[in-house]
Amino acid sequence: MNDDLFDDTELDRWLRDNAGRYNRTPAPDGWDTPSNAVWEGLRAGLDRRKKRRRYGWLWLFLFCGLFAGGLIAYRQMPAQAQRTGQQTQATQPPASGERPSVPAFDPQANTRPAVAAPLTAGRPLAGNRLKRPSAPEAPACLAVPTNNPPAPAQAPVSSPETPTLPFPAPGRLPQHSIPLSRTADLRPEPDFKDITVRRFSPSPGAEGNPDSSKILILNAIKIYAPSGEPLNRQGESAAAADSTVFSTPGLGDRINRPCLYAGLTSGIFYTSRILPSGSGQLPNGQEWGAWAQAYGVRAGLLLGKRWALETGLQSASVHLSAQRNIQVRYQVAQEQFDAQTFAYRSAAEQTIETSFGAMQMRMNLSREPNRPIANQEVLEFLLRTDERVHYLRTPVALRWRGGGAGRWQWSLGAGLGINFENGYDLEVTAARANRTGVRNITARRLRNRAAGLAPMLLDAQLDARLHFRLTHRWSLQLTPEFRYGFNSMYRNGPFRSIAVMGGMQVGLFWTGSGSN
Amino acid sequence: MTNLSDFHLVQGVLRGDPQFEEGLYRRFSHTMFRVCLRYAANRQEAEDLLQEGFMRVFADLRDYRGAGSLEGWIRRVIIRAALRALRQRRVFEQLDEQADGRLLAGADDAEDAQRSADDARQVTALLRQLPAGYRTVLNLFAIEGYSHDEIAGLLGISPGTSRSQLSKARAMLRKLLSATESTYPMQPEKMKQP
Repeated sequence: MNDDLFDDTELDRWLRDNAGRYNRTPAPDGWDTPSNAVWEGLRAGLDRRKKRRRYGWLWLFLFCGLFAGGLIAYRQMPAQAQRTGQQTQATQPPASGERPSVPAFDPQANTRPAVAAPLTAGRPLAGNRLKRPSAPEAPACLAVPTNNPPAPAQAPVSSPETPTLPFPAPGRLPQHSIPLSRTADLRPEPDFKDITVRRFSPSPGAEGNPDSSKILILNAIKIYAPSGEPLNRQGESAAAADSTVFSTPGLGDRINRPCLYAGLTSGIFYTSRILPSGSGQLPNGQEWGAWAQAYGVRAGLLLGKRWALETGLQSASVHLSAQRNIQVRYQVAQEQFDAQTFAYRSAAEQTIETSFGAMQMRMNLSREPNRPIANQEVLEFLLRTDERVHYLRTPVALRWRGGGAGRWQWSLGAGLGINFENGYDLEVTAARANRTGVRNITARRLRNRAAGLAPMLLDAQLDARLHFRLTHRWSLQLTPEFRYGFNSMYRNGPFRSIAVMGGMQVGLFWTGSGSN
Repeated sequence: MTNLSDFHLVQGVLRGDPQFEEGLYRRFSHTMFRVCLRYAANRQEAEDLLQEGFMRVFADLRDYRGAGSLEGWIRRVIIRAALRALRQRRVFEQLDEQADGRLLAGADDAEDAQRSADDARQVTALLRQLPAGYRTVLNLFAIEGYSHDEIAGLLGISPGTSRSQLSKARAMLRKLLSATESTYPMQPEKMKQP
């Protein structure tokens, strides 16, 4: 060795000069020429990426379309409800004589100015400006349906079911009560926390200006019609509000209004498969399912008081571990040797059977020098594989909301899922041949050649969901879910392979409301 | 495709034209395969690294601003992808352990190192006989010109470990060179090339 190379700098320079020079011309003996399988794998990977990008845009557009559709429907419904209310008012005008008068507000007894804007029952009270209470009530569209029979639409004020309190005389209004002087008074106050429906009977002889009979009580929304009957913010009577299917008082105006919800989910699923008996050749050896992670987004549209249509986009996978004896007709493509071992490389067209069908795979074998392997010789291997098929899944499910108590609700869902295969991983974790003389095998799947897989899977899903309301709009959801495949995971495979999976998902969901 | 400039080749790839993609690969595959051979333990692993590296090149090509040479940019991307892949395979986990004294006895590598008249091939074969940690640090420091701090950041090791690995790698390489040269002496004028 040259003495210069004992110097570190010289050694580094020597390395740089000899190995660091880059020449675009390949060496004549081809030692620096990669095999054609690299480009084939690269080509397939690039094609897959382009395809995935196209599908990605498609799903994004679909999701945006669904979201926009839901939003439009959500925006349209209040206007219809308002028109319906006005028509009702026009066709059935309340007789003024039937409406008990209420005492006029005495400006001396309160620092707030007197009422200026007249209000009548059935007329919306600038409801668009009202915010819902900040208490952790569910949005109206998600309120728990009650099993109580609905009350009559126009229950009498003195109904025995409704506690009746005497309507306060002027100057004796309940604490925090103010007269409704302008629409600004309808804006929520910081301490606006609860909704309490109380009724007041008109005090005898309290005839006065009907305009002053509308009173907003802070800390407990109360808007009084001239009849002394509390109104909700749409100007409907509390009795009418009570006739809704929702148990939350004062929110009845949002009855049956479409409501959108969306959220992120994450979970784990135990994935396995079923090989229907009698459907053909079965794989040898043992096979186990495995846990696989799933995550995605979900969105739903409420279609009434109990039903919802749900969809989303989810990354899911089927994970299998297998150990099997396989017989391979070994196609020798290249033979190398040194003093101790002979090494063989299989042809690129070499295929072996895996859990998901035939895969092209390159296998390198080393053997003892005195035990050659002939071309096309049948070899038996014990092959251990760890295989994952990745899917992009879109579920379409119908959800039925059962009920609940307090912050808890539960619902059941059933539907279909479309899975698009978007990736495949195969790890050969161990391999051993029972042929004498073979010392070592390394196997490598030639990438992106999972041609035996079906590109699309259809499955059915069944789930039970537990909702826990965190705040007014946000909720945590825990969903045990089961899925069962309809079609085989193979394409032209020797046997049908049905994916099954069961697991648990957690999700954080945001719920839009029915507010105008 | 061979007469196209690098700039036009990149434009074609960015348009998603498969012919340009293949053209880019064919133009640089030999050069980059040499790089991968220096980092990989064997030819098969080098092909894996090359494929993963070119996937990264095609994915990140929009980031190439044309500031430097395309070849240099691709080489950096390939090296980083190779290091990431090797790191995922936990090649560097045993960097601090006693890897010295054990050569990676690749049969074909030893053969390459002894019989080849091509210096690049010979040096590559010698490097591939080094343990993965030694090989990687020596490659990054001596050939690619990274500092110890940069190597530490790339490999997730301390700069001190990088220095010690380099020192051991040089010692082992000298040992290998001595053994090789006793059979096939290298020509002094080639070694002294600036």
